[in-house]
Amino acid sequence: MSRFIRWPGLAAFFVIVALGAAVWLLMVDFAVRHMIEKTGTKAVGARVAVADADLSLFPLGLEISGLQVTNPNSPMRNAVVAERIRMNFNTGEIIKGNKVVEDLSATGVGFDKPRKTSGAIAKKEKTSEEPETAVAEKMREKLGRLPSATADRARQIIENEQLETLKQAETLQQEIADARQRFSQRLESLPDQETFADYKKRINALKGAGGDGGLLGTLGRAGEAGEIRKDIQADLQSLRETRQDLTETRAKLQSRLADLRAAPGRDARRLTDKYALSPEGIGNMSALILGPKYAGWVENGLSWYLRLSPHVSAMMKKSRESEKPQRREGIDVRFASRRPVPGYWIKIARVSADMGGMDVSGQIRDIASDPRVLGRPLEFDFAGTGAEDAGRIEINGRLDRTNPENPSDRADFQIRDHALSGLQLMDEDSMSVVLSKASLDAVDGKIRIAGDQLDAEMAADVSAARFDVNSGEKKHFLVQALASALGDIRSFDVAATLGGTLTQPEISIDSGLGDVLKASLSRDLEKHRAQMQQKLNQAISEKTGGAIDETESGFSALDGIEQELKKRLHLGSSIL
Amino acid sequence: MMTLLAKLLKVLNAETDPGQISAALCLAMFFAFMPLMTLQHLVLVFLVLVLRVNITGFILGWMVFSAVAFIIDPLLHAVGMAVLSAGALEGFWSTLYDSGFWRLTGFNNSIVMGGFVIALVLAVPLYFLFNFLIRRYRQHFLAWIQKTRLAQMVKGSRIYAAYQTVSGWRSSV
Repeated sequence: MSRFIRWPGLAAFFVIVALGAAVWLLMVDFAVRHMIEKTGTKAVGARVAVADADLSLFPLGLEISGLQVTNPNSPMRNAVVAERIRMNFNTGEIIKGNKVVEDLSATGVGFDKPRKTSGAIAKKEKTSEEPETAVAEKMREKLGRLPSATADRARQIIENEQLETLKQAETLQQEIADARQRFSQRLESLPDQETFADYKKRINALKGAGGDGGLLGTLGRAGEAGEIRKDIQADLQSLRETRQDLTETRAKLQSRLADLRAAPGRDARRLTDKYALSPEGIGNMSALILGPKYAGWVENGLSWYLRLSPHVSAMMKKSRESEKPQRREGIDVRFASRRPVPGYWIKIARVSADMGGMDVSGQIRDIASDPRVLGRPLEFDFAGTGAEDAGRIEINGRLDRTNPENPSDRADFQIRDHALSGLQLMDEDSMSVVLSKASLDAVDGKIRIAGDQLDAEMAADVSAARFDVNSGEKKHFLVQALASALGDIRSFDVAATLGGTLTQPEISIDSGLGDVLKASLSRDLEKHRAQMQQKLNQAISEKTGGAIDETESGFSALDGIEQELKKRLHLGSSIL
Repeated sequence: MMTLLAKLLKVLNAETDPGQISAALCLAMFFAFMPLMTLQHLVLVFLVLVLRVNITGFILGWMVFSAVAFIIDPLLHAVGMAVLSAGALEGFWSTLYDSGFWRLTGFNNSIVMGGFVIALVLAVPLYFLFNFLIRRYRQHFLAWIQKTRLAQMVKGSRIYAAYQTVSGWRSSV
């Protein structure tokens, strides 16, 4: 036996195995912690830190404490923190290479908590992807913005605008000049003083001939006199027609001049409509005030949804793309199993979290890398109450990726009697609006995502509201009026919708707040509008007065032509 | 310290029969052709330590066969895929696939399966080939190598003297 067996080798084997196990046990906690931080940081795009990780063998489980996930859009804040996460693995499945967690419990979960140090990481340059901030900015642009505090500077406005008055004056001046030229040319072809002097000479010659030529001579002179009379009458007719034409043209141009004189008023109204907030437009005020916060929530939610979704997709993709083997790694061939199991699968995760001052707890079922294998979607169900049982929140939904070609996700939520405080609704240079205190009596909402198509709606009733409105450095009349109007509002409702796609969401907001503000601000707006229109009118008149006067002076040339026609007509008539 | 190192060298250079060296090389081939850490690797380490095979030969063989395995990786993968996707064996593999024990062997990995099959096919022929080559080497080249300047320098070193003291160094190595 000893010819083949090296007995000391047996001891060496056990020593080596024991040493290996000891090193593994000493290093495994550090390795797990490092792996969580590295994988998490890569997935989130900002630092993920773990205070401690403890892997236990009997039973096989992992406990993570002090998890901090930095918000990539705000590196000085943690998007998620968890005091303790405990998970128990299925040993049999772990041996098979499937990371199956029988149950997971996360306690002390919180959202949007401050960090002591920045959790930003060096980012790779973005390629063709549109920056996420642009999406939120587009949504806010569609909701509209407060009118600029400089909008009532009339001179500045007309410097940057094309005035219809000036264009109209230029056109009219040209038409008057054309008319003057046309009638001047026509006047040259019409009988003048010389023509009528000729007629006079011919008449005098007939008179001078007296009774010469007998009867025939008398008849001949009578015929010639008749001819001269006809010619004079024809010339007078031409002059009358020209004068009539001139009168009509002048009347038309005069009418245009009257219209031109009214043009500055029209310009002033047009620019007032453009730059001043009208009472009709005040209905959008609800979107202006509530929109930024809503857009921020949508942006944040979609950002996380888009950030986390690819990881599930990527895992599913990996199993499909695994036909391309890596050198020295090969591929793991999957065989039809009697009980197929995804690569990773958290059967049930129990989470208790602090959400906006509410203690929320619930569970997420079937978090899996490949829901196709599982044949069931991820489902979640949470409920919670505020301090001293004040308020109630319920959220439930499912992420259905069982058919990867047609993913369908949904969530429904209800909030009842929840107290709000210090909610920054709007923060712009011109003004900021904070909902310092309010009661969310009822909020009902649903979110549906099919493929990349978004469809969500939310309705809320708010009471006992207190708004704090602060104007910026430049006092704007609207801010002051708004502060006054919001100060009187105690209750309002909100209906918000979300459509479009995941990358190009479209939001709309309708609220009773708008109607109340409209009623409260209408008088102030009308007054401001009238003042603005008056200032614009004055500024436009000053700017266009010269052009209008110049246009009017063009009529003097037409007057001269008319005088000349009148003179010739008088001359011709006197001969007859 | 020098004595301890010499004792380690003694262990490493024990079992120097051609058969023991050939067996070590064949085990090294199995070890290197299956790149992932599997249950078989633990079994192979057990066999190398417990069976009277040449450990130095195993370590050297592992290094050489690892390089060979890297070069013939596509072949290992192709063979592994062919075996794993053979229709006749599908039921067999499915049964093993549901077993935690067999999953520890990584049998469903194309390189592990390919490496194991190729090593299994080559093991017996290579065992005899290595035996033949080692004998030829010892007959025709060892005396010549021992006369080289490098061999003379090694023999003149202190560690070689210590090694001879603890092992009763056999000139045949």
